[in-house]
Amino acid sequence: MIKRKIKDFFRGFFEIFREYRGETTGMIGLGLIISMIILALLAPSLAPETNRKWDNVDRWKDLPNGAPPFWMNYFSGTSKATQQVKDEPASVSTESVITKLVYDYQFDSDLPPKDVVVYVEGQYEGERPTLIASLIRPDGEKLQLASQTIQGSQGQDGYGFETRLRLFGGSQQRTKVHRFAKQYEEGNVPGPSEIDVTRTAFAKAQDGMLNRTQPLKGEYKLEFLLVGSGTELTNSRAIFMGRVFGLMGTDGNGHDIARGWIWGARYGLILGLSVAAGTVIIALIFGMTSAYYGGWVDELMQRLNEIVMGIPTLPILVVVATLWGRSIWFVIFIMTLLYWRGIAKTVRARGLQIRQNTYVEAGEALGASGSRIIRGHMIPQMLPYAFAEAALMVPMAIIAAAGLHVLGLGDPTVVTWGTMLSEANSAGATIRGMWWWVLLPGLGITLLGFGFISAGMAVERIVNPKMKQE
Amino acid sequence: MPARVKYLVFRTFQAVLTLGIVILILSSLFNSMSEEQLQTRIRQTVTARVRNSTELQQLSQDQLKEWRENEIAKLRDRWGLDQPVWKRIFMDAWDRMKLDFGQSYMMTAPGGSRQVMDIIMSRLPRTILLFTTAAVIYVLLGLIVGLKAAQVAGGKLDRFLSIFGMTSSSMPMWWLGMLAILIFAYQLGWFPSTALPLPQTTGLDYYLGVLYRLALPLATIIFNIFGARAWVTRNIVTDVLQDDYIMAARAKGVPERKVIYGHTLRTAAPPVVTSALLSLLMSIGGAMITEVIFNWPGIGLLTRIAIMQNDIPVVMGVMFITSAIYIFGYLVADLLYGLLDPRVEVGTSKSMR
Repeated sequence: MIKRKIKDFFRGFFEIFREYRGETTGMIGLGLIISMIILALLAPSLAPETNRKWDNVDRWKDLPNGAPPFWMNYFSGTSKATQQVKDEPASVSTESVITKLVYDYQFDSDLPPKDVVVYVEGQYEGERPTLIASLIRPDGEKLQLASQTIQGSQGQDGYGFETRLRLFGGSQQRTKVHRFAKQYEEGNVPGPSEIDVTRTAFAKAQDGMLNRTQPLKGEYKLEFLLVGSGTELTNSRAIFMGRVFGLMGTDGNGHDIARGWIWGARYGLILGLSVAAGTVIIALIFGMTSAYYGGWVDELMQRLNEIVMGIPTLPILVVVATLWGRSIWFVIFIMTLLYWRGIAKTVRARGLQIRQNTYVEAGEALGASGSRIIRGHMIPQMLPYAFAEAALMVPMAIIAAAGLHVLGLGDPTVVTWGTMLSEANSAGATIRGMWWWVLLPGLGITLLGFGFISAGMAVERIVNPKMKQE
Repeated sequence: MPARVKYLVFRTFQAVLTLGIVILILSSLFNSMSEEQLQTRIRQTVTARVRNSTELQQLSQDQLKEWRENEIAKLRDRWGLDQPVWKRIFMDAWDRMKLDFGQSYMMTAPGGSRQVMDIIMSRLPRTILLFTTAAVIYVLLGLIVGLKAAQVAGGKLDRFLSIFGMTSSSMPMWWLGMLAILIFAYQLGWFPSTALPLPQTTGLDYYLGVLYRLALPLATIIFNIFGARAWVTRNIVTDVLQDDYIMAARAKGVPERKVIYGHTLRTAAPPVVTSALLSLLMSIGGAMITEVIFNWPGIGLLTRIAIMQNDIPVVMGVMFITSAIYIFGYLVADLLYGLLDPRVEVGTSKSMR
């Protein structure tokens, strides 16, 4: 009996799907949904250390702030340096107390990296070593950028150290680059604080090097000298911070938007699907019971439905978030408690039609109980409609939750598209022209929403042939 | 009493009752928050009085403590904090139903009044100006485009409309607003990125200034909603077009224009007109986040500020207005539908049809 029912259910499902394949927009929507689900499932491996470490400044400090996506290079006349990480130096050599480290950098773009960050790891025995960093330009000029004494922490044998050095970050470097460039300038020169340090450092040594820079393309070398007896270098890494970054760029806080986006798909789906499932189940039970029993039960349930309809959603969500916490699960719970109301109306209307069918009457005549008729005969009839309604619920829930983030009341422990949009809004991304920060997260909401809406409409067209085009 | 009037009275009573229950639910939700607020305010009032009075400062520690306790008890009594919780919730809800929203904790209306009603009434016209103007435009635009699309179901316009409707309604309105600011305020510089400050001039200049600030949010709302509205109209009309009598009319050789504008529209009018009216009524409530994004000083922005400042009387007042618009909007739409569609018999419940 149960087996046959399951079989019937699947047969019905496949029948609908056979027709569904003919729906172009429906198939596009389904494709979008499936790709989003795959992304969402892979989120922990595609974008590790993203969700939990979103607010951890250390996690994102080697990424440039506010860099547009790399493909902007194809649209604009000036090509900008992309992010490059070199885990291995080009050469390491040791001569008595000096360890020499060289990194090569091929500079082919019009604009150089925003900054260069170097990590040097190792240990020393007694005396604290000195790290000297210089940039050797293709024209043979050597620019000494930094020289600092390394401070390690005491370990078992000697001192271990792990130093992070920003080559163009400090005011000291700014002055050094400025002094180097000034010798080529004729006439008025801008002050050190007015120049773009890396642009000048990577510019042709000629007049205008400080503010009308011409890129000097070619092979650059970064040379690091570690001076100190008994010093041993174990590991080093150089990061050339891009002026463009990755598939989706970075936001004003240096977050990789693409990584956050993947997690946005994950939480969007979790939220949307949970709310959709919850509301449709409640609405099915509520609407069907109301339609089946009719009379005063129906009247009472409809009044109840109207009361829930009168409750303004967003303010309630806002208040609940301030009162009882902002967990995404709590938001899902409250939305489920509120959003079933509209679907229940449709379900009831459709239920009244189904109730007229002879098989319902037959069931009653055979002495089947009300709940059994609702479960066994009426709800299965309703399922395709319910699916369509659920699909429309997904974008609604996602948009509402994202709005909650924009109001500053989203769950701070998860990264969603709403999180990114709210950060964009409070950082004034719109009036700073950081379009990728605004456009891309919202596009996620739109794509997922479009996927579910078009899938839902396609199913609705199949089960309700009157809506068909042509 | 004629059946129609009786029904009207009954339904209005029902709507008021529904609103009352909604307000009761909201009042109980907010109760703990407003209680906390009141207690903080009482403590602050008493402390301020001690600080400002030299007489009180001369009292001994014990005397002062006693005075403070007395004073706090007095204030608690005045604010009704000693009443049982359920009674306070009922009293609050009752006050609100009488349109007495109390006084704001922090905000004032332009005239200096702290009455929540005055504050809301000073903001409401601006929300109506933005959202209802938008509603008028997208309703009309939706009607025209929807009809055109329905005329050639499956045609180019129809297909475009279906995609456009689906896409635009899956975009958050406030996100479209952000994009609009990015393109038209930042990139092109045609419109301001924020509605505040409002123009300080008078006369024609003032209205032009308002229009200048209105353009971007207005266009955003229309772009966001009109596609879906046109789609709804189109569906209602195509639905009617498949009825037998339309086929009969076509078979008789009635010209297509007449079929659409004469036969079809007459049948499609009740749902189309009702949903148009509903859109207009609902637009009064506005959209909170869109106002926040554009800095439009309507009740949405007011709610945002009130929530941030924990100003519960204001939040409750706005929620009352929103709920009332919703409940009475549906009532009006329902009654109008009954009037327009002669097949709906007034006075019978829907399940009887």
